[in-house]
Formats: sequence, C-alpha cells, structure tokens
Amino acid sequence: MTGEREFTYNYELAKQLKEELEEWFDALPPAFKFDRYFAVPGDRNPVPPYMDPRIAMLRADYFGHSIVIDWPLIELIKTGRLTSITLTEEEIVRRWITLCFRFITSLATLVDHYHPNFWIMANAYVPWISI
Amino acid sequence: MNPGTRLEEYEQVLNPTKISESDEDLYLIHEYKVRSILHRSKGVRRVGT
Repeated sequence: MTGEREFTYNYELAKQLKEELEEWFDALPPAFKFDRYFAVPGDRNPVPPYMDPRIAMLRADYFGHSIVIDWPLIELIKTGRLTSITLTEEEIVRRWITLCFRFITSLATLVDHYHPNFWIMANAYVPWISI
Repeated sequence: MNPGTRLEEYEQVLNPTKISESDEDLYLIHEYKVRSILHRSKGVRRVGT
C-alpha cells in the first residue's frame, strides 16, 4: 500500500491529460457526442440528458476521467497536506465537485438499465481512488 | 453512380450521426482511447518528491 507515502500533484501532467480528454471529446463522431454542461438539479432523482444506453458509458468515462485526474489534489487538500490554496486550486475544486455530480448522475442511468459496463467501470475507477 | 457517393458513405461510417448496430467497433475504439488517458492519470500522483 502506498497510502502513507508522501506525494505531490503533478500539475503539468494533469493539464496535459485534461487537454487530451478535450481532444478525445472533440474527435467523437456526432452520434457519440453528449452534453458536458448539463445542470444537476437538487431534487431526488436528477436525470442527465438522454443518451443511447449503448454508448452512455462514454459520457460516464469522460466525467470519471476528469475526476480521477484531479483526485490527488483533492486528497492533498482533504488531508491538510497542501500548504497553500490559491485561486487555481479553488477553481479546480469547484470544477471537480460539479463533475462529481454529473458523474454520479450519468452512472445512475447505467444502473437503471442494468448496464453490464457499470461493473467494468467500478473496476476501472475504484483502484485509482483507493491508492 | 455519382462519384461522390462512395466518399459520402465512407465519411458516414467514420462520422455517423446515428448509431447503428455496426457502430460497435467505432465505440470500442473511442472507449479504448479514453481508457489510455485513465491509465496515464496514475502519474498525476507523483510519489516521493
């Protein structure tokens, strides 16, 4: 386990991966595109814009990847190991929280359809968060 | 046959506006590409520096 080891957040790599994620999104065929900026209302059953269940995993992946990339920074802040928080970090945290809501909402649609990829996704993300 | 017809058909395969059953390979390609980003994101957590 590496949970006790000291680590830092690699800002440069995070920025590069986010840019690659945007490039990936831009290159999606029109039929695979999705709304990335949908609002998540604070009611009991928020629903994202409809997306064909066969490809809805791509949307969940997009939000999931965004969350995973910034997770080390969130962990540093959460555990008090980041000595100063500037506007840059504040902006990342705000974006991260919004993306979490969109990720959870997107995942909910996979559960609704008993989507087999839901379990593949669980395997993909859990190890990253628990490192 | 209109010389542009085949090209339009080819572009439609690469850039579909509707999802068909045969788009599974295209879906898997994009799924694979995005997963490569996830794999590399492990490096954002720089241990021991």
